[in-house]
Amino acid sequence: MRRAVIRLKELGASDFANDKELAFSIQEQEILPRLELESDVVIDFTGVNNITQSFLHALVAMSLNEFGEVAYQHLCYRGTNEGIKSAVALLYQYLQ
Amino acid sequence: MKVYFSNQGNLRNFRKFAEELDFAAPNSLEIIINEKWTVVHPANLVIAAAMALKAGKWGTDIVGRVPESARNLEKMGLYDFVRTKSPFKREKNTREPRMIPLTVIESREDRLKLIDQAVQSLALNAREAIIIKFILNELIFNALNYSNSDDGVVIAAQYSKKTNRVSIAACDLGEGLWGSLDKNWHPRNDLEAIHLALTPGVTAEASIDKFADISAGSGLFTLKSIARRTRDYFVVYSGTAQYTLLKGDKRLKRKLKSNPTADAHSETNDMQPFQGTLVAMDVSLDALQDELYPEVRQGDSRPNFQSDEEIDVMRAQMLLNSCIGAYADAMYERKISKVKEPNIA
Repeated sequence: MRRAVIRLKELGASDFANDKELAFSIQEQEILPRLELESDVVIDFTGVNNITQSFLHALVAMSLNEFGEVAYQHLCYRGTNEGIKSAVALLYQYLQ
Repeated sequence: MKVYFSNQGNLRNFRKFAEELDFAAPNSLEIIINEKWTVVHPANLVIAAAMALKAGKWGTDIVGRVPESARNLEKMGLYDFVRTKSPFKREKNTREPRMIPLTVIESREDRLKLIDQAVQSLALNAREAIIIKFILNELIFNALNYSNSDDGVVIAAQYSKKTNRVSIAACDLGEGLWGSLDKNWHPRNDLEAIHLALTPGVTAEASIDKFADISAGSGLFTLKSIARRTRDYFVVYSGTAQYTLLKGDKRLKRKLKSNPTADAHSETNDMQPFQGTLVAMDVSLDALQDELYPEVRQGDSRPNFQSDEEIDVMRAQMLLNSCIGAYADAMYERKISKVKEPNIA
């Protein structure tokens, strides 16, 4: 199974990730093409301590909306602290 | 055009300030200051600076006698926007004031730079930094991306030691909230546009049937929610409409509401028509501390497996998450309300 790790810090996210445009470009360039191939995509938050709702939405909302079940199955998150985990859970709650 | 800085320049009195604005003759601007004493909130400053951008520096004057208390206007950079020479000499050997002076943001790079520098400019600790950076980011992003302003957005923030509060304001001279929401949401007037802009899930990018791919429509709702949680004023002024979130009853639980008219507030749709949008808020750092550490007041101990800073940043994230939680609830309610009932004869 193909598996890609998207390291947000290496792609320019700051420890307080708030740049929506950056998030959306990561989604367009790194996440969507891999979901298209039904690869597993690991989004690695290591080094990111806080995120805004808008960053997270711009990072994965389109993937979840467009790829539906495929995205829910293949996207996973690591390096998340409790705050980020809870923000991701809330995103999943309102997008479904 | 005319602006009057009185001695009551705080958000509670913003409506009075705005009622005295004069937008006629946009090629010139007169700024008049109370001769004896003046207090100016960043909200008043950003609107004056935005009007000065429209009139041009050589069309903008500060007229009349200027009191010593107006020295703050010099520190906040207002004299950079006007033709009038500052009567104040720069003070030497004084401590750097905790403020973001009037700054025009025109690009994403400007925005990221200002936010990076905000922590130092306002001398914030880790938890305060997260909340204030969040507020600045949302205010500037919205104005840059949805206002269609030719002049960018004017931003200013200032810390008050007396009240231990950070006051923040952003103003653009774009198409206003009604203009940016009309395509997808068709508000009937400026006040309805403000209500929509403060409602979870409403974004200029998408209609009610569709989530936008880049924007969740949570920004202004979250800002209002932070003000609600910290019992601070929050003001939106666009077109002829103005909305002020009031502090509300101290004894009542500060439940976050998705309908902005359900919060304690004042509003009007009868203001001087303002071509653009102003959003301003206060953040009480004491209240923020109480929100982040409610159990400290109750005498509970904090977990000891993390450093103070780690706990701080996590708490700040949880405060933002509590606003997102209210947002998620509102989205859920909206979906439920759209479920069609079967027609059973």
